[in-house]
Amino acid sequence: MMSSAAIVELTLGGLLLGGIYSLLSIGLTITFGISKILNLSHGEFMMLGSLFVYLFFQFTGGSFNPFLSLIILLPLFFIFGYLFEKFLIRYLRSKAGEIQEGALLLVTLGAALIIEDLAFITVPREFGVPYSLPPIKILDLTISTTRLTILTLITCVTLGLHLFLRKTFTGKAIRATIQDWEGALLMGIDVNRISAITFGIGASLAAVAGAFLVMLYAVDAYMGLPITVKAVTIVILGGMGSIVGSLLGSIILGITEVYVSFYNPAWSFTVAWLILILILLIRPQGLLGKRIKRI
Amino acid sequence: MTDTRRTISIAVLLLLIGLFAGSLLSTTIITRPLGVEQINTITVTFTKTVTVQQTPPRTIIIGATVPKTGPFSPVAGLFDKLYIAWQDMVNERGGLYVKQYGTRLPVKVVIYDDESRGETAARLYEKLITEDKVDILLGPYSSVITLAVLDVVAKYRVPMVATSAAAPSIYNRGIKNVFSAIDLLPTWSYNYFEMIKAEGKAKTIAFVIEDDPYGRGVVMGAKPKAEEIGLRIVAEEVFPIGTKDFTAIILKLKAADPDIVFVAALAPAAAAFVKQALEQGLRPREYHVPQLIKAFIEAVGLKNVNYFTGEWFWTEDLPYDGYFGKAFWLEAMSRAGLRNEDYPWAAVHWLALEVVSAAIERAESLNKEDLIEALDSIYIMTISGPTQPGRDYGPFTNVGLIKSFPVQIVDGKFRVIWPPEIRTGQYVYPIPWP
Repeated sequence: MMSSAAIVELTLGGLLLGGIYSLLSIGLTITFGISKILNLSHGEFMMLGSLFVYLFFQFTGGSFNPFLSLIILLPLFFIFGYLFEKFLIRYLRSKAGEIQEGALLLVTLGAALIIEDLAFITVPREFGVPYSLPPIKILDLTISTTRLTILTLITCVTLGLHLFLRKTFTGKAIRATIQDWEGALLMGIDVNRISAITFGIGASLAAVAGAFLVMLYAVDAYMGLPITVKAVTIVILGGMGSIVGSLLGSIILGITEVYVSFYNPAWSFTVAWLILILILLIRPQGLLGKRIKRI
Repeated sequence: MTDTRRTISIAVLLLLIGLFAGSLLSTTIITRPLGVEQINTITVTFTKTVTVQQTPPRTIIIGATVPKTGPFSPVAGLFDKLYIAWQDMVNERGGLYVKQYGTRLPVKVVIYDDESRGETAARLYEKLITEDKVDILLGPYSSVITLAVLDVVAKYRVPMVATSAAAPSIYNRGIKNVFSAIDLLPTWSYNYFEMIKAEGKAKTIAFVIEDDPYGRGVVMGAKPKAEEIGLRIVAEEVFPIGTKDFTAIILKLKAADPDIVFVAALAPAAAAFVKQALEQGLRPREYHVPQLIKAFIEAVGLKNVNYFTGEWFWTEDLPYDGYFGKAFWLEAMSRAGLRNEDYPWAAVHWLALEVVSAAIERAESLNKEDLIEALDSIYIMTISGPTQPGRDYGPFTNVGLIKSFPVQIVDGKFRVIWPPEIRTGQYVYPIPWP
């Protein structure tokens, strides 16, 4: 029988993992919504975020709070994502009629492999940041302050993104472009600029997820592709293009993984995938996706 | 940089000797393929007289891999430097004596990067045997990688001395050409448990086990030994290789509240577990991490591992000189730029070099069957004490005698805490958590 303390701690752990997945999958869903190209190198932004924080921590001799590295990380990866769209995705999109869809996917896969190999040359082993805050005790519970801080920051970033997309002109332009590219163009929106900004946001979100991940776990240069697969599944589960759906899918996956691993660590991934498949069998359009009517 | 400087210095020295004394006897340039990093090492061999130039009839070729890249690289990625230091120092002494040739022969170690991957290691060991034509092999780092190369090594019947690989599953297959200087994994923690028994403070223990040959092998011996000395096992949690999140295990351990948390995992996984356990407030009276090495400490943070206990195979206070002498070993470590505190497994790799050297000098020739016979029969003194790599017991063949002993890290310094004759400090129990 699981104690109430265990339930609270497992739920927090699941929310944390789900939160990290959500940063990644929300980035993927908005970039897919804009470009209609599934960017298989999206997970590499996360890996590079981890690598950046690790190198930053090493470079400062471990004296620098890794949370503060986010101040540099966010604008840096925004620029990286912006340029990635401008020089690769936009070119691919312009060739969409000429190149097979599979070939577009392969180009992003190739980019992922190149990024991974370059990262591996930089740090050819597992790496992690040996940083942690002292845990806090509330009644019977001992909770990791590092995890709580990360969970709080993930919530802030998600809420901030939500407000940005709802309240700002650029945010509204992003949503409009995701809904209807031509319509947005006719309304005078600079869709190319919006597309680049969206990729900048997506890359920043993934990099932040990577920064949090490397503070919690050891990672390596080749973590990008497996995590991209996970993000793609979450996006499909949540409903293609649905931001709230991605958030929901991420939390379901995170909580399932953590709870199943309490009983048997070897089964955590398998059961999580089984649940995802089950949901898709019941709702093929995803949790919050729209059903496509066949004529 | 040091290698380059040494190479240039030796080259200039050779030139001067060649020009002015005419006594340059032989020069061998050895190139070691090591993935992207290629280092040229110049080995110079002199005979006893300076008037007659004599080329050695042949070179003894020893093959090995090290994990220059991949998860094991922080643990053993620098051991190629130890092998090369040994090679250079042995050659400076004239090489190893081989009776068949009636003289000392220079040694050459051919080293590849196995990327911490079993399949890569298996391919490279086949290359070492079939292309590099090695006379004898040093095993790769870790039991899991050694298991991956066993079939190849057994197929070609090339003698191999394992390094950091003592899982029982390596030695219960009846393979006659694979030897170990150290005892089987299950016996490693015997000294540690003897100390726990003598101290009589801890009453309960929990095992956290990585599901690989190392973790399973350590616990195979540690568990019955713990029960034998009267410790109650309150938890036994096995986790698969590659596990990232340990929340579930940590929660169970918190509920079990053991005196000792024994982490039977290789350094990367042990570090991942301990880091999360500390973050989530798991504070037992003691953490015992056999792999209390630099890679582990750096990943968790030095201040976080204060009073942790681990296991070593060598300390300066051990009264043994070894096959080449203690000074020779210390010089090799110095040349390799390694410290025992950071890389305690370096001593285990040195034991393998000692066994290889003894076997070559004991064998009548470099014939592989003669080398296997020599390995099977030698009983030698190493820096960690006597060993007999050909020892068989029960279903196991060719396992040595050397066991580890417990150490504790206190305020950033290691102290040997058992056995009493080599103890350098008192065992601190329980951990005085801040």
